[in-house]
Amino acid sequence: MRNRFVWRLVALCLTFAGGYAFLKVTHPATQQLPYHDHFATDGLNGWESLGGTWSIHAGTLMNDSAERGAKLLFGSNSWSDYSLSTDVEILGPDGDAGIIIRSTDEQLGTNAYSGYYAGLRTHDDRLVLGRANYGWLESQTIPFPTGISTHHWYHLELAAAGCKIAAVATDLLSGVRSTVAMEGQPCVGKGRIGVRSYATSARWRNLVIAPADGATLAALHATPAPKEQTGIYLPLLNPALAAELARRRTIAPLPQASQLLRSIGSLRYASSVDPAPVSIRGTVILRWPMLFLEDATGGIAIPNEDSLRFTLGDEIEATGVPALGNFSLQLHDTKIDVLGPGKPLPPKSVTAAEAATGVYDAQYIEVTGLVAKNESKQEPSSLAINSGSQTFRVLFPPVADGARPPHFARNALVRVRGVEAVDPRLTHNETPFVLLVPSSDSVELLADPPWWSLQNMIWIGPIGLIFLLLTQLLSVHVRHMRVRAALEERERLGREIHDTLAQSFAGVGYQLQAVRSSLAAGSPNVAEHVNLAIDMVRHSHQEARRSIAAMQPELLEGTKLAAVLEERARHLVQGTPLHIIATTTGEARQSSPRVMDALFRIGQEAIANAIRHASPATLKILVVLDSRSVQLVIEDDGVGFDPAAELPGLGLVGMRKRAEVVGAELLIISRPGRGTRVELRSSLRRKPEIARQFETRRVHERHAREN
Amino acid sequence: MQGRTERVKLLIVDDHPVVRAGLSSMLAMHPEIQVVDATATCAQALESIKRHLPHVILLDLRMPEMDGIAFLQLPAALRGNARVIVLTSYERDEEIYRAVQAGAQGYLTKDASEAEMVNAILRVNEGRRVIPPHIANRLADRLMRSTLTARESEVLKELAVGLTNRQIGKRLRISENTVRNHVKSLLDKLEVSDRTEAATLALRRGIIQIDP
Repeated sequence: MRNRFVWRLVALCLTFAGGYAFLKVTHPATQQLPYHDHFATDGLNGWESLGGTWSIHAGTLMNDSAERGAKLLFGSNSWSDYSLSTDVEILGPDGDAGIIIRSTDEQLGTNAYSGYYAGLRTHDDRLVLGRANYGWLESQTIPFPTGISTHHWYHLELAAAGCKIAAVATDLLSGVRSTVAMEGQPCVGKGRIGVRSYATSARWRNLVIAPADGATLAALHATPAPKEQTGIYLPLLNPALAAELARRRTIAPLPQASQLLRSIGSLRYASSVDPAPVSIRGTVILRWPMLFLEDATGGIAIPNEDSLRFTLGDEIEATGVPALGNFSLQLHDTKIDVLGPGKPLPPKSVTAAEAATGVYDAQYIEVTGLVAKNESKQEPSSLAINSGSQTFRVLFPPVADGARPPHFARNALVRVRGVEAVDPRLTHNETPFVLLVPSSDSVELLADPPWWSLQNMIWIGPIGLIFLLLTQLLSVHVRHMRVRAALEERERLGREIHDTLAQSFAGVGYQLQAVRSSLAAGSPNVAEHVNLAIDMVRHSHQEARRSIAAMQPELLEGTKLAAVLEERARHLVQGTPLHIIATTTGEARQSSPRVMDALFRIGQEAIANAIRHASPATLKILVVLDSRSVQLVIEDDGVGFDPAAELPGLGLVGMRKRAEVVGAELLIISRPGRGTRVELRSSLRRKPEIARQFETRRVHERHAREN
Repeated sequence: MQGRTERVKLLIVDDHPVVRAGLSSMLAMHPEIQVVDATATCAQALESIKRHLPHVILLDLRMPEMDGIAFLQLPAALRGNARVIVLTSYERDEEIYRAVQAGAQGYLTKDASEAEMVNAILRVNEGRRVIPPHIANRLADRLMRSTLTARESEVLKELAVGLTNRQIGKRLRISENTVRNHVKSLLDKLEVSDRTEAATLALRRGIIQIDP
């Protein structure tokens, strides 16, 4: 008892602990301030996205879609006075990106939230601040002194204390800053934070949320715009970006296209001893794992470049030193200038065998094949594809946390669009090439695997075998039953002969012996004995005919039953004026010989009774055959009898017993002076014959006991 | 117990009218025998016994309602202590065995000659047993074999119907394993290898019966 109580207590504690842990895991909204997200380790755990395509690369949060008003939200709805600061970079030509505070009631849609938004807008070069409440109420906008550029990092801070909201934007390179503020009653007092972009891809990094008060806001306004401010952020950037920023600062004018532009294809034949920089122009075809450019003559990889700031299809001019290593062309020490957005290139449709030659290295191609293997557990997840005699692998870019890596059924027919790479570091020398795909959408399912796959066969095989086995068993069983039925029928015939012919012969034999004895004794009643013998033979002959009649196939089908009974009746009346009506309705049914035999004999008995005892004027014989039963009715308009009275002479007991033996229902309706109706119904539903015979036996035994 | 001069009072019980008539005619020709009655059923026979007090009864085995064996199993007083000769056309081991076991003093087949029959009636009346040599042989055969127990016979009946062990178990309210043991034991006793053979043999020997 005590023990049980302790166990319950323990279970209760465990439940609470588990529930708490669960809440802790699923509701990081209880995050304590200040909060700093470097987007390095935790991924997007705890963030909620409403629209957009969000991912994290090297400490940078990115929305890679031009969706209008894509939001990514975080934090607790109970946060009230705080500041949110982050670096933001706009990647598209025409849109804005920024941050949200005090957000509640968010839904999918452009301004579908309630909160404050501060953002940088490229098309009119402004810093904007306003209130969104399922609609946009712009409070204050201010032109940013140096304009807002794409592919350029700004620092943005948005703070709220009471009903005062202020935002400041700082150009991280020049240190130029702008401030906007608003104050209004009533105001949104509490809510979580978010990042948001409108009609452009954008990136964020170094996100910091800190408690704020009036002083914080005042500081925001007051802080001058020292250029050296940017230095504070530099250590927070990843080394590659820091290097890039540093380099940019030194490259005062962007490289001019003074050098002769070369086609990418021609670089393949450049002498490797001449490391002179060259300029190329091409379209961005891939950003992960590195930047790939392609022009009409070929493709090139540009490693060590912050590739995510480009969009697929961007036209780019790059200056750098080409190098041909591991059969693939790369451009090093690159300086890049974005010429403008363009259309993504269409892939070239090639066969796997063509691709395997390496001619299409670093080019965007399209290959069809059958899925051989999913390797989604590894990082990066990949797909092995068989195409003709070639096998290649598809490497997927890392997916955001929580998203499932793509999975394709084995032997499904797919079309893959991606950039071919023959670099052994990627192929591991296992396949002639790999395809680097921009996203998991680049693998398109053309046809599901055929049903006769090996796996299905492995399933179908045993099932088929079992089925065959069952069929076999069934057929054996059926054969067995058939043999048994034949044996039974033979047994029945044997008994029939024994009970009629053999008995008759024995009896006649005894009678003849009596004749012989009386002849020997000179007895006067020899003629009497002989006459009796003749009667016996006639009786036996009739009996034999009846047996044969009962074996007629027509009788078995039920259609002839009425006719045969009518014939018997006519034979019995022998000329006396009796009107006999015999009718059969329904179609012929195959039924058990025993049942039909019983019907025949009972019918015969009923007819004999009617003719011998009832003196009727009319005798009706009706046979009704339907799908489940056969029914026999013998009706006369004779004298009738009282069913309550025991009338041993009528053979009713015998009729009842015969009916019982074959499982038929027998109904005898009669009243003195009102004629007699004998109804007999037998179900055609098959019952094991022998079973019935044993029932019969039991019936006999019961009768024996009763008697 | 009867004097030599007294005629043997004989009752014939057979459901077939021709047999009854023939037997009556034939045996009536013998002065030692007095056929007191011939009845078609055992019930009628019991009535007749009260009236005629026969010494010997010629009994058919296979009759509707009550068969010969059942009649034999009635208390001897009910049949007036009359001695019974089974007269049948069957010579199946099991039926002979059961008839003799049930107390039949004689066993004749219907193809027996007049002389044999008269002889048998007279000898049985004297209190002797009459079993013709070929029937005696079969009886001996049957006695050599071990007898099936009541339960085994029951199981055999159900088995011949074509039921599985499980179905038999359900019907007889015993476990499937018990049924299996019974089946094994009866297969041994019948000296057969499988169930079908057992069923066929059982039917042939008359251990179990099928009524028409």
